[in-house]
Amino acid sequence: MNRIPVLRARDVLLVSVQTDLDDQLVQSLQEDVLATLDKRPARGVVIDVSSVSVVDTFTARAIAQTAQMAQLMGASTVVSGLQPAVVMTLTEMGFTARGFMTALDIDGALDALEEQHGRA
Amino acid sequence: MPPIAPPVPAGGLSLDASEVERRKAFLSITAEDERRIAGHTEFLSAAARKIADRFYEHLGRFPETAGFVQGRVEQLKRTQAAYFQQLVEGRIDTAYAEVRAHVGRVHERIGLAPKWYLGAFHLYAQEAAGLLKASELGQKDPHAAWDVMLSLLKSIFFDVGVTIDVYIDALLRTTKAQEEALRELSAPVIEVWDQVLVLPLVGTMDTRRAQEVSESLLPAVVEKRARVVIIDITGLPVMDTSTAHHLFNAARAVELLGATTIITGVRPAIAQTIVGLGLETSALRTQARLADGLRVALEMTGRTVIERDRRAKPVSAPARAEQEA
Amino acid sequence: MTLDKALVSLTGVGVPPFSLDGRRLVSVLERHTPVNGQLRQAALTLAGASSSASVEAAAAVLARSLWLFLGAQALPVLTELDEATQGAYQLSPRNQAVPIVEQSSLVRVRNAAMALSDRFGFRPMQRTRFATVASELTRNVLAYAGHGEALFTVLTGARLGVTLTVVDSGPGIADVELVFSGDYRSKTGLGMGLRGARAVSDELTVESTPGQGTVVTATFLCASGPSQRLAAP
Repeated sequence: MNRIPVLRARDVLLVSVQTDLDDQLVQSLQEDVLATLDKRPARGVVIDVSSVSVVDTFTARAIAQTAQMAQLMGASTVVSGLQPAVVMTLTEMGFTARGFMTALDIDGALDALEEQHGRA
Repeated sequence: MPPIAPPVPAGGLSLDASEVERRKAFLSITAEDERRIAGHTEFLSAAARKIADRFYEHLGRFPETAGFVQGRVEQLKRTQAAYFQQLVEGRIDTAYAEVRAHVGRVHERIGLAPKWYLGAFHLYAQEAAGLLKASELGQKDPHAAWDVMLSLLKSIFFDVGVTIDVYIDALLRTTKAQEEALRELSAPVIEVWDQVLVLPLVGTMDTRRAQEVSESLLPAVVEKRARVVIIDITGLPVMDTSTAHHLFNAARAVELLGATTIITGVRPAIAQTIVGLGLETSALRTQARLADGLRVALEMTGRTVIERDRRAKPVSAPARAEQEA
Repeated sequence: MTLDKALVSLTGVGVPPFSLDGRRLVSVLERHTPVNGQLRQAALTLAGASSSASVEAAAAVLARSLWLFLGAQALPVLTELDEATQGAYQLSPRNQAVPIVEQSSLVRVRNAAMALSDRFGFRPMQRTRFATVASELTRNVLAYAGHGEALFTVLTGARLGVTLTVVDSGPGIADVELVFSGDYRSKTGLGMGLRGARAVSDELTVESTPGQGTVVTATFLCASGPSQRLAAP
């Protein structure tokens, strides 16, 4: 089965989603992120979805839940690279981002994590 | 070999074979008419050549038309001769119609009003009638010459019909394109500083415009890597439910992209509308004026605004050293 | 047998891998519209595309450009291009049915929606809305009925666009109004999914009989009227 690699760079987990997301993939992504955090804690998780052209409410909720769970395990989550059309559609469908930060790209995501760390 | 496609003039006004036939039927142009004209092609095209010189002389006398022909008389004479040659060949088909359509498009593009085109065509008809009357046929058999003239008139009306229809169609398209351009102009996304965008909304916002605003704003945020977007609504006289809804959606979408939205210039009437509609406003960042929004945006992106005249009087460094000593 | 037909029979692929002469595409285009550099490039790219993925990408670009230049007039031109190329590129929008049977159907229905959006020159936002709704509706079928079908019907009359009908014979929805009211929460987030889908569709209707199944119909339209971006030739 396809899996999305979860990379670790210093104390941040990096997940770059390069394929279309079906439900199983979203599920396994959640499991992999949590399992990696369990092995060794991280300060933050960056999920980059800049190559994903469709995110429906189920997928968005699954990502939000992953972020929430990661938070419980001590890692803040930033979702980066949401495409404008994806964001507009999600907003029109009534989805609101709760429990995770967003950033334009991976750079922005790392900035956001750093900023948050500085404040903490 | 695929069938020859009908010519499609810009504007989607179709001039395919069946449309040409419909137009001919409506003008009662029969095969007899076409034969009759074709029978005098040589004579009528000789008339066309004679007319060309006088025609452009005539146009040169009116300042409105002189400008269009200046410096291009010889080329235009050739084009016109070819046009009239086709007119007197007595074969009205799609290729014939396309040439007429082209004239309409060109006139629209260069801004030559139909009255000049009609006037010029009238001049041709006058000349052709005069020459026919004076011709051998006209002297010997005036009735036959009159029939030729009537057939020619039908063709002329066919030409005028096609050219004017295409002219109007092209004009409508131009007008719409200008409206579109204006609409785009009316919601410019301005990069006032690195990572800071301002979107001033002016005039009336309907649902369609609100949607277009979002559609141009969000890609701009990504492209400019903006961190703060200021939506200034000082110029909005009213805001109805759906506009407010769209505005809020745009603000939320910007946040979801990873940037921050600040709404500035909320006037009393609009504040009342927003609260009256029961919209959730706690997540909304607002500032009174665009200037305040700008200052906050600059601070959010790591800059400080210092207003010189509010600072203590500038004191030069040596002077300060003396004071301190 | 022509070279490209020979190649098709050799490779056994439905899409000719080294397809027809690009000049032929350009010549068909030229009879309809002033062919500028952009359109010419799109046609030549399409003709030179070497895999089915690149054919699809190039076909999408060509179809979208034509909509941009010709507005509603693009439809007959796309159809004629299909005739001239014996359907090699499937440039015009056409009806299709995608079975919903397993997880991977989700991606297949979504991709069908995106390909159709390109054939209709949908703007990026409309394309994403359509694909997202296709996704939501397909998921509902997978979650509640297990299997069903997604039917794409092309609208070419007074309204240009696509109607997506998703049919299943699952348990059905007892109270459709309750789902739309927003007070309903389900295991998959169906409440939000269906409600959200209605918010972004041009039209969305639900017909459901408990115990027999559900039919959801969502319509997405092209932007009103022909595009006005084409300058006079």
